[in-house]
Amino acid sequence: MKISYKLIQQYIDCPLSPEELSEKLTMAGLEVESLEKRGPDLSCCVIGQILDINSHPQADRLTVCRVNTGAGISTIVCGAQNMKPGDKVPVALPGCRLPEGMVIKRSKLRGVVSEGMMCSEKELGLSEESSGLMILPADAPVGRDIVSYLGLNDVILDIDLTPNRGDCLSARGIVREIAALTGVRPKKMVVDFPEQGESIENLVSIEIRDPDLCPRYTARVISNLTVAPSPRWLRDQVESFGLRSINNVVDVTNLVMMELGQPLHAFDYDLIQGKRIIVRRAQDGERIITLDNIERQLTSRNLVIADANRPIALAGVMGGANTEVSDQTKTILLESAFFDPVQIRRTANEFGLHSEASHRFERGVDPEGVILALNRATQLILSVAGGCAAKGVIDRYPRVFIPRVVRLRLPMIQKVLGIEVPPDRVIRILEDLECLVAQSDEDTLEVQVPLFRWDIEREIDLIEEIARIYGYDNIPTSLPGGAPSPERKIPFKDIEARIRNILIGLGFCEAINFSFICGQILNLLSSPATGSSCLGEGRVRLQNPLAEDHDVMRTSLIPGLLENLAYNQNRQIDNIRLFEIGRCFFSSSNGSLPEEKAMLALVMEGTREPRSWKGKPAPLTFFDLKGVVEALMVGLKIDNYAMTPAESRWLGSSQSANLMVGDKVVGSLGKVGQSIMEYFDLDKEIFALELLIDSLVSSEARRGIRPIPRFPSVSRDLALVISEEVPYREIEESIREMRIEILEDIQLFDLYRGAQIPAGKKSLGLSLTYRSSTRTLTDQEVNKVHERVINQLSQKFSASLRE
Amino acid sequence: MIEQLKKIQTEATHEISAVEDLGSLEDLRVKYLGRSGLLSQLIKQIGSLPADEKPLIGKLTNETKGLLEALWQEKLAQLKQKAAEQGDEKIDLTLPAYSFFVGHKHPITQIMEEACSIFTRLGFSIAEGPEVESDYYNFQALNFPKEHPARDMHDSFYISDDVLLRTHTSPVQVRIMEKSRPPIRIIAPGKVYRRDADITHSPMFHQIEGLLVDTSSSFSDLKGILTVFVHQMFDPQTKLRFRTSFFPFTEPSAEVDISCVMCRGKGCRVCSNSGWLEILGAGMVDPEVFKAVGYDPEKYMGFAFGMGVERITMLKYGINDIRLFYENDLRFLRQF
Repeated sequence: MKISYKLIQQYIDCPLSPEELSEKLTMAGLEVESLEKRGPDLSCCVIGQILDINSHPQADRLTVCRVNTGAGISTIVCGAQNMKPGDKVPVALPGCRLPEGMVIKRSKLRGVVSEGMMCSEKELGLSEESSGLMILPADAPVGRDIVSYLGLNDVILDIDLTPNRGDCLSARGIVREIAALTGVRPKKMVVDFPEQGESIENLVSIEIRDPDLCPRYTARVISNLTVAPSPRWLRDQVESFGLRSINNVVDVTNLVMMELGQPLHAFDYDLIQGKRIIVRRAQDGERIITLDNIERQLTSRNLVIADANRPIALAGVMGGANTEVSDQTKTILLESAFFDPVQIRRTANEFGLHSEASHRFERGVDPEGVILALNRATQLILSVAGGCAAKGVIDRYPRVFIPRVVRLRLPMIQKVLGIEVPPDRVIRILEDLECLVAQSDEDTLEVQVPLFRWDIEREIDLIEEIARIYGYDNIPTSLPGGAPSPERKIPFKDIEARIRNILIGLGFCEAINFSFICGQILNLLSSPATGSSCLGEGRVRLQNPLAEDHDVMRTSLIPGLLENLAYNQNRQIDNIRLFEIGRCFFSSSNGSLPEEKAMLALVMEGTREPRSWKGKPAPLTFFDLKGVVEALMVGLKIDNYAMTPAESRWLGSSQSANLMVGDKVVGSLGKVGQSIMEYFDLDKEIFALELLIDSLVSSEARRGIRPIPRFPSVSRDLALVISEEVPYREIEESIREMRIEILEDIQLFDLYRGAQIPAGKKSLGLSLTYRSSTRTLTDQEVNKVHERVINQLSQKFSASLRE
Repeated sequence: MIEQLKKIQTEATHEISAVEDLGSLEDLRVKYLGRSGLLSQLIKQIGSLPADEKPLIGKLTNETKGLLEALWQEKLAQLKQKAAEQGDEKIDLTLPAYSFFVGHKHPITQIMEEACSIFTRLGFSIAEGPEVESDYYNFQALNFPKEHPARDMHDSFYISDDVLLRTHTSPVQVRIMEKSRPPIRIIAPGKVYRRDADITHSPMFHQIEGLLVDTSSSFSDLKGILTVFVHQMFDPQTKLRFRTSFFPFTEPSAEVDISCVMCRGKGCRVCSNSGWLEILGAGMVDPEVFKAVGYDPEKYMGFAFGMGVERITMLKYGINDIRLFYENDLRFLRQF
């Protein structure tokens, strides 16, 4: 809501400067978003004094004057007659742009150079007509600029109103607030105009068929008027509220709406068929072309104003083109009504048609202010468009509103606010807000709330009013007593924090991506951990995405991270390691809400370590990714995990494995395959991991500490030549299956294929560590066990020992 | 015998002081002090000496042995020190490091963790709720009736007519109150969604919701808690301003401004010359919300607050474009 500071002064003697006022309003809940200076751009217009007046050598009707403008003496050719030497007048100097658009230049007028122009009120945009130069008082200071001298500057307050304060969508509403905040009474608005001729009851009949949706409808008829462009003052005022000037009649209805908060509508009376106004629900299939020239198909959900034959307005939202006021209009029917807020909001939303009128109706106007607005508008129309007002008002008011009475228990104020506000202060505040207050007992007030305050229904609403006028800043600060609620630990929040710490230690940066992604990319991914729910029917789709490629709630974090990877790669950044922790969404068969799963994903590309002068770092492989998983599991104290080759190609590469915890698949890891690389326009090798965080929560090993070994260990190496077909894991498992009590660790320290090794075979170097917790092992003892291991391996895998 | 002893002492002293490397020193130890070294050989002969000579010779031998051992130890330390000095390779210490990759938490995470830890110290525990919510929890239970203009403040993403991406973290309030009885002190950090995208609005952003319900808690307590938070999150000199506002689920409601962190309230571009920055919404829990969760509004009082994490992060680090948080440009992320 925009409102001019000068206009406010017309309604109340506001003792505050624009800045002070905006501070005060802001604190009271009417947030002033900006103060915009506004005024005529008359920067080169100053006060001048006429020194002498001489006749123009070439023209009888012109004079040549010498004028002191403070900065010097100017020669000015003038056509006016009403001045005499010594008079002080506004002088537009070269460079000055007058409100009508003329730019003053030094120029020759019939052979005489004129160095400016002396101005009339009309030329300065101060009045519609003037009969000569504007003669200023004798004490006007020569040389001073005219804008500041005449106080032409104004400030527009742009107020951001919260939806509960529909009562402030007008100058009157804001003035009421100023009155309550400052204690100054608003000025009285006097409405007075003559009525002539026929009684309105003979000119039109009005019927409300649906009083629930239209509790009150009032109208006047004004005939013999002239629709024309608005006079300047009206145009200025309408524009000061941020509206566009249309014509004198429409401008008045808009001005009164901005003044009093009551939307009005003018119909061309002569186009109303049957001279009847019927407020009714539309019939299904009826149509109306609204003032914005769009044809709307109506249903019985919509309330319309109709004449004898057809809808002529979408009630409270927008008028119809069929009865629009035009240049030809001679007689108007002026409507001022109260419509049901919810009804208006539904219709406005249904048609996406939000007007200044619907904005006010849906927040609730003042049902008792309807007539005042009608009369105020009638008076203004008579003054700017002429014509005469028919006798009387039609006022159909089938459902009368009765002001609410709300009980206020004074002790509640302290309970809610934590401060005692003296009862007489409470009463004053409420009365300043135009409430009627009666004290029923020492602790209780009965407060009658004015009808325009739709937001005050309950005791707590009154307490808020008291708090805001009393001033939030006057409420002290304290800390709540009472016991804190017992700590509710969320296990996965905790695990998420631990995962973050481990991964940043491994050189990963955390990314955060939007939860909605492009549905198409999900087709390229399948995840054994989240199962078939990743497929099309399991997706959660947005009805109204902001962009087409943000249409589906993600079922995987991988696409976002790959997009980030491509983004960074395109900016010459290498060695990218990113992770994200966030939720993925799967539509659920039971319950209306989708299932949300907390997930972790990471991607990595580049080398094992940063490039340095030490030498070329090795490129990342699948086994580096395994190392990351291992570090995570160690950090999370998860013992029973395994990474097993996956049958399906997770990201379209054969280098894919499942991450198992216990016997559950909790995630996938692997290389990013070709089709996905192409989709994201990537070319380097990328390794990725994704897992379900929830599955890790309960997997932490609950064990005491293992004692530190007291006896030395013994290592024995062995080199096996074994078929390529045998996966390493089987070898390790077959050793472990022997359940050798003193076997502490198995380490692969070498893997070799080549010259000395037969084709189809590989050579593995294993180091076995033996240790007993009760004694120092002897060589013989270890040799014996180690021998058994060798035998087991050679028999089981036909492995041969390499010396 | 004494002659021999003296000779050994002189020669050994000479040789030990002349030796230049640890190997030769070890040889000398073996030669003189070893198990079958010269001294030991001499000591073995003591047994065959006349009884009256034994004590003197024994004593002298021991003295010589002690002397030589001390000498040897001293030389050993000397040579080790020298070897250590020479052993250190001379390097150009100004060469660049062999670096490690260093990871960084997202700035939003860092601020969330910081805020959560401040509130946990104030006795709040952490709660969560779904990001895809029902209209009931996101709006109705929070006193946003259908067809209410207050819904215009939240431009929502819909999944179906009745399911949407939560537009604020406030639904967690309702879910927690449905599940438990007062006293309640929780904060709920998380993602929220609104259909809005420009330099200061992101369609997805983060909020932290707070809720305290007890038999007595007042607006002045709300002011106190938020003052502690702001002073810890920013600095103790930061001023707070509570001004009237409107949220359907709190009454009285307040917007909380802090004195501009850039200009300290003097007025600058960041605070549009007002000296104040809006960072929080808050208020006393509206009785309608208590009714929706089955609490007696006559018995319980409470307050709630909510803040935008991006906003606070942008202010703390002087970030002027919210989109930077979601581009995940490493040149940005590595600065935190």
